[in-house]
Amino acid sequence: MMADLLAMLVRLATGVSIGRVDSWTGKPCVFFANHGSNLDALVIWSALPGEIRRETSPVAAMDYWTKNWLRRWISGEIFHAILLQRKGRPDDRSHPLQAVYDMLETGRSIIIFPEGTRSPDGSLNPFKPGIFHLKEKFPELVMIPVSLQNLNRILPKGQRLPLPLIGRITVHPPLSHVEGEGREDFLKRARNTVASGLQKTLCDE
Amino acid sequence: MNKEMIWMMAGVLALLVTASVAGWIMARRASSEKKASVENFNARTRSWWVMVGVFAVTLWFGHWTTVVLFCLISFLALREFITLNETKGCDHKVLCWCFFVLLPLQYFLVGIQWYGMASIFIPVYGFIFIPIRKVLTGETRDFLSTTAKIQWGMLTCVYFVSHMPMIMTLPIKGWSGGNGALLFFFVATVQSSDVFQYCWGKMTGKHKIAPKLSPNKTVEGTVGGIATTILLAVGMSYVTPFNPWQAALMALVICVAGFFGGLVMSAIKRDLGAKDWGNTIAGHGGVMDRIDSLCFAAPLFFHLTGFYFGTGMDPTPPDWVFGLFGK
Repeated sequence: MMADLLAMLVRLATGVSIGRVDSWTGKPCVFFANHGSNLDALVIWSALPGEIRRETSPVAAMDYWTKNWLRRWISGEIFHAILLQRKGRPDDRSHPLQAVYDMLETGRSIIIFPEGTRSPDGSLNPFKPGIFHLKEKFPELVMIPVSLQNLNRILPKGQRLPLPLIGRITVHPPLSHVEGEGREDFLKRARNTVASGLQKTLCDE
Repeated sequence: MNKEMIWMMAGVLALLVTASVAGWIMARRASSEKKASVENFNARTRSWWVMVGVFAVTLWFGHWTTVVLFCLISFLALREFITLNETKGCDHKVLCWCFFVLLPLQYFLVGIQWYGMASIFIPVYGFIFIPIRKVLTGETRDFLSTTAKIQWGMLTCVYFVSHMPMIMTLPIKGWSGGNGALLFFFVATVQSSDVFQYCWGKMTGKHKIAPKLSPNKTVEGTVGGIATTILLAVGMSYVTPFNPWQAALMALVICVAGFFGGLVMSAIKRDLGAKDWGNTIAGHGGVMDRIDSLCFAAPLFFHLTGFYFGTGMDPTPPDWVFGLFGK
């Protein structure tokens, strides 16, 4: 209820919406997107159709999302976010993506940013290999590229107050499975698909 | 809401019902290649129902609700304007000031009827403030062009639009017809000019006026549309302080200003590579696509009416402002 309300508010404030939902309903999905602002995870999550949103957790930075009660509440109670430590490994020396693996085992979908960190000028950095490992470990995952535009202007790095500008989200069709595709080729293909959605002029259909 | 207003609303209602029925018939008859065009017509009509409804309810409640409605319209228009005009990351702070402080403040000044301040606030104080706040960031790259874009956005989307609620409190010599009717006259004239130009253009349009700027505008559409609107304005003149001749002349001025307002905003939009300003209003595009003609016509209508029919508004602040600082 609160989650739906929050999602609606975010869609209203940033003007994002997803037109139609393709074949990817029901399966565990990995939504991966370019990263330009702290709003990114919130915006993708809000734009997803309700029944998918409730089954989707963003992968987010622990230091940012545990800073105050509001962020802790959103990441814990609303998002059920997977919080990762960015600096230094956890003490138990487990695999850095272990928390993500655990979440996928339960059948939930995730939102992830393969660039690893925000790109301040809105350009697309190289992808880290995390999403390739996910695909190797769970071959049945649906890999869905997402392009986000203008969010780095709505909330640039280092700013607190979001501007009421119009953002845009483009959800691409799932990446097809290519037999025997290597790591670099897969990452390049994934990155090119995300990049292709960043070219369009804002506000045009 | 007085008797005249109810008659005018009834007229608008009749127009909307006609458009909806015509759209319904066309949709049933349309061949497959005309489907998209009819679909767009029907989307436009549906949006008109909503816009007319919101505007009527607002006018009915009076002065302050009108101020709030136009404040909201300005907010949405400025949002579209700044979204398409790629400002830089260093403009974040100054834009926050524009959206969250200058814009509401302008409408507050309109609301408290401090005419002397509201009519210069953005062109003087805003104009000075914007480059000052920007220079504090220390960024020199594209300084003038980004400053100018923000100032332009504030003038067209906020300052010009705020002249519409200002009509609500414009005191007029020897006339007590109610300013809501005057604002209604203005909005109805400019918007029906758009609609009639669209209809005449669709039916008889051949010679394009500005193929690069606005491919749908034709000589036949523009002339026919403006002529029809002038007739309509003469018909509405009895709810205004104007006699029929004055109403015709006033309609001509605001229709021409509106026409060029549409062309200017279209030129900006094309330069930025967009077809519409947004997609907030189904069938019409963005809020700016709907109000571009009102933007340029509103200050002209306000001032011309004020000069010739007004009592001369009081440029001094309301008494409580003096109370704050002592006099």
